[in-house]
Order: sequence, then structure tokens, then C-alpha cells
Amino acid sequence: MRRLLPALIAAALLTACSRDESPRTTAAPHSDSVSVTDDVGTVVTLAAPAQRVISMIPAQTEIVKILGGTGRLVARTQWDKDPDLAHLPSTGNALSPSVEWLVAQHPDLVIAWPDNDARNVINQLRPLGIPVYSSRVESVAEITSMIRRLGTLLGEDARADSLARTLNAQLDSVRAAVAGETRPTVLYALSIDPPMAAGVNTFVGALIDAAGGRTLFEELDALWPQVSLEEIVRRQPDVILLPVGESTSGSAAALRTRPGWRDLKAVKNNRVYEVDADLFHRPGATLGRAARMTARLLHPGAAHGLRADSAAAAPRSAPAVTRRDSAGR
Amino acid sequence: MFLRRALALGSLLTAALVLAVGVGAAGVPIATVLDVFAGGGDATARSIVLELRLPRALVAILAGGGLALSGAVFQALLRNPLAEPYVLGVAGGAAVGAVAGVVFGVARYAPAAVPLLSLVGALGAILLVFRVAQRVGRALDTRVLLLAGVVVAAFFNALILLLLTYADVESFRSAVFWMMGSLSGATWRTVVLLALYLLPATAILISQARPLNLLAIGEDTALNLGTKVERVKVIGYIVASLAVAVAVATCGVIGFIGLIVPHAVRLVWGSDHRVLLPASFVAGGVFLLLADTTARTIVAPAELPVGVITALVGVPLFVSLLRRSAL
Repeated sequence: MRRLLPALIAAALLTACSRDESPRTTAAPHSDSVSVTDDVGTVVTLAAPAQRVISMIPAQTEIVKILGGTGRLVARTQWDKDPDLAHLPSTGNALSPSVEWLVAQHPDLVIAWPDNDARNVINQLRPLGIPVYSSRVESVAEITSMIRRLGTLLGEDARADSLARTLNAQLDSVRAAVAGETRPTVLYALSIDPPMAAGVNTFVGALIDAAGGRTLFEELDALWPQVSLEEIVRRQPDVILLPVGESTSGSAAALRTRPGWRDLKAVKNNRVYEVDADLFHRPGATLGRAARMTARLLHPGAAHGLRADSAAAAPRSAPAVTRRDSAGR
Repeated sequence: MFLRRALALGSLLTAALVLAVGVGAAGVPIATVLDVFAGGGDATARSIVLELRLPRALVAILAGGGLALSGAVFQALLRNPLAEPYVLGVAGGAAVGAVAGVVFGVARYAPAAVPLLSLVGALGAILLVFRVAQRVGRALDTRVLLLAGVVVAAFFNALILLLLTYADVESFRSAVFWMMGSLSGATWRTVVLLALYLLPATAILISQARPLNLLAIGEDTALNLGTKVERVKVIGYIVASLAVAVAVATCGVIGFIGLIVPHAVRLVWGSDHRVLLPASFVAGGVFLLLADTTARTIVAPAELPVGVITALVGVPLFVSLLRRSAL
């Protein structure tokens, strides 16, 4: 027995390490082949621009639709509420999709979360010859870069470039409109109990910055830090943004009755705004619209004429984002 | 008698395997499935049946069998009907390893390292529990061992909670999903890894059936009848713990099988370990296989965590068995 244990451990380490067959893309270099590095550093190579895409992330689904049209998508998730996609079969919540179902849709590109569960999916799809783009983006630069790389995989570089430029132009026009205003502190409360804030390094932090606000916990590095209510009370945010959608539970009305929250100046001054979680939680093509909305909430006076400005700034070739402007719950 | 039982379990296993390979979210017709096994079928059908369904089914059989067998061994050694594979803190250690891997971003860049980290965590837990138990009592006292397992598990639990407070939303979700247990990551590599450990472990544990029978009567009796009690206990604990460690490292923490399957077998066929141990292995394999087949088809094309099914279906099943045998 005494000899058996180390032997078993050694065998464990050996089997785990030795058979590390990295998924090879065996496609021969082809004139149509496209290749990019995904958001976590894996090279994704397609024999030809993708025609049958399954995106398990709503923001990326929107981008594929804008760049390549609805026809390139062969499935959707339950989070994709776009009526244009309603006819597609749904993978459900996309957190634990059935791999065999995905394979049976014959996708030539799958866009997935890089986290562990999706990793299981990814590790099974790649050996079967189905390319997977793992997407995780936070900053505006990462978002526009991701748009361009998806554009390459779809063979739509020009459209992707135009969409990325539009996004930057929209954010610039928002920044210009609120330049010189005093910057209120903003608590973007992802969750009320326990309180979780959008960190300064998230795309939400980026759009608050563009809209002329300061993230309340700007010294914290965590993406979505859990913070104490006491500290929120001590810091007294000027504005509270509350994402509202099917996966959130808070409401501005509820804050008025909650101990601690009800005494905040922002609550008393009616500076708690509900925002559409579907719009704000998608780091993609709608970021410009979310920033514009935020600017109008933070600086009602200065951002007044913003809509007309940014519409003028958008290049003609970029297809408009077709989502309802104020999809509440 | 023996032949009939073996035949019953064998046909149950075969039926479950056929079902598991035959059904799934993709709806491959059964004729095509048969065609695939005959060497035909198109590439998609071959991928689905041979690369996804079959390895996953085999992992379910091995992991379910390993957990049920270990549960039976722990129940005998600790002489406690509540004993189950995770009672000695193995799952806690494995979870600490995996959650640390997820939270500190190892999972993002080297996903293959997560099972390895959880295996390291599980082995650490086994070692820790044994050290604690041995330092307190000179010989391996089962009561001390049980207590050591419980406190070590509680300690690991606190570590997991600590790690989770540092997790971002994405890692938090991954970690929780990991702890719920799932077979969705099964590949042929997982099958080989599991078989490499679990088959020898199963053989060793089943070979201890006779001394376990004596031990179940009482340590003194067993000692008087010439059993090397210490040896049986050490072999039992270590081999069963290792089997659990490997199962948890590859599939996460799948609850309940190790507790109820051995009891169910005992209710039906009595507590002779020569029958109980092999029967628990096969029954555990069949149970997890059927539970996983349900988990991956009932809300298709999404999947449920398999632990939900093992408890939701297992409890009523077990209660009805319990009532029938009590009457």
C-alpha cells in the first residue's frame, strides 16, 4: 500500500500532462482562409469566411448580425430578444449548452465565453474541427478590436471597420458634449443585496467615464466589486444607475424603502435611474447608445442635443442598430 | 443466485448504455446510431455518437460506480450509515483546488490544469485528514477519522467561501458550476484517466470484501477472527479516497450517489460485501448514467446539472425502497 500511493500520484501527473494533444487546425492554407487571434490568445483559423455562426454571447450575436446579416446566424440564445432572430432555434441560456446539439447545427464558427464551462464546450468542439472564438472584452479598445476581428472571420472587414469607427465617433461626440461639466460620482449597482458596483475597468465604467461621470469606487481594480453599504453611504454617490431586466431584481422604488439606501442623497434627490440591462450589459455595438443615454441622465442640460449630433457623426455605410430604444422589463 | 444477479445488473447496464448512446439533444435516428457503430454514418453523426455520447456515457459509468463503491466502503469502515464518499473532506479539498484555479484565472489560460489542481487539493485533503487522525489516536480510530474529516471539510468550506469573495462574476459562476458537478466535459481522455485509476481501485476494494464483512460486526471480533484490521482500514480509506478524488477531479462534486446506491443495494440484496461492493459499483454506474442522460435531454438543447437529477429522482426512489423493505 505504501508503494501504491506514490505510484498512483505519479501516474496521475503523467496521464494529465503527457497526452496534451493541442487541437490542430488541419485545414491546408487556402486562398479564402481567414485567421485571427481571439480575446484569450488562441488563434482561430477558418478555411473560408464564416457562413454558419452560433454566438452564445448576446453582444457578439448583435455584432455578427450587423456585420454579416441575420442569414449568417444558425442559432440564438434565450437572451437574444431581437425579433429578427426569433425564428432561429435556441440553445437556451447558453451557460451549459448541449455540445452534440451545437455540432448538429453544422456551425463553421462558434463564439463562446472563455470561462470554464464554455471551456468544456470549447475543448470538445475544437477537436471535432469546429472553430471557436472565445470572447471576453471590457475596454472600448478591446471591444472595437473584437469587432474588427469578428469582421475578418466573417469576411466583412470594411463593415467592421466602419462599425468600430462609428462606435468611437459616438463615444467621442458624447465626450465632447459633456466636456467641461462637473463630473458626478456614479454608482452602477449591479446588485443591491449584496451591493455590487461596476468597476472602473469594465465597459460600464468606460461608458460612465465617456458620459462625464466618475465611477464611485474608482480605486478598486476588481471588475464588479462587492462593496459595503456603509461605504456607499459614506461616499454618497451623486447618481445611482440601476440595471433592470430579467436577471436583475432591484428597482428604484425598492431603494426608497430599504434601510441605508433610503437615506442616500441620490435616492432623496430622485437621482436613481433604472436603465435597460439588456442595453447596458452588452459590450458591443450598442455601447454608444448606452453612453448617450447615460450622458443624458448625468448631464440633462449639456447632453440635450446629443442625439442629433451623433446621428450626424455616424458614417452612412454603418447599418443602424435595430433595437428598441427603451426596452424596459 | 450469483449468476441471476450478475445477469440482472449486466442487462440493466447494457440497456442504460444503449439508451444513453441512442438519445440526445441532436436527435440522431437510432438507425444512424447503429450505422455509426457498424462503421458508417456521416461525419456529424460519427462525432456526436463516438466523440461526445460514448465517452460521456463511459465516464458516467466509471464515476458513478467509483462513488457508489467508495460510499459502500466508507459506510462499512466507519460503521456509520450516513457515511458517503465526501465525508472525509475529499470533495472540499478538490473544490478548493478547482475554485482557486478558476478564481486566479488559471482556468482561463490553461483549462486542463483545473482537474489537476482539484486532484492535488483532494490528495492534500486525504493526507491532512490522515495526519490529524493518526496524531490524535495511535492506531487509526474511526471516530477520530470521521471527526477529522468533518472539521477538515468545514475548514475547506471556509477557504472556498473566502476564494469566492475574490471572484469576479464570471469566475464565480464557473466555480459554482464546477461544484455542482457535470459530465459535460467528458472526452476519451477522461475515460482513460478514470479507467486507469478506478478499475484497479475497484479490484482492490472488492478484494477486501471478506475482511469488511468481519469488520462490520465489530473491530474486536474481526481482530479475534484473525483480520489484520489496521491494514484493511488503511487500504480501504486510501484506495476509496483516491477513487473519489479522481471522480471529483474529472466530474466535480456529484452528490448523493455514494450515499443512497449502497443503501439501496443493501435493502435489496443484503449487506454481504462480496455482493454489495460489485453490485454497488454497477448500480452506481447505471444510476449516474441514467441521471446524466436525463440531465442532458430534459431541457435540451440546454443541460441541467446532473446533481439536480441524482437527488430529485434518487430521493423518492430511495424512500419508496425504504418503505417497502420496512413493511
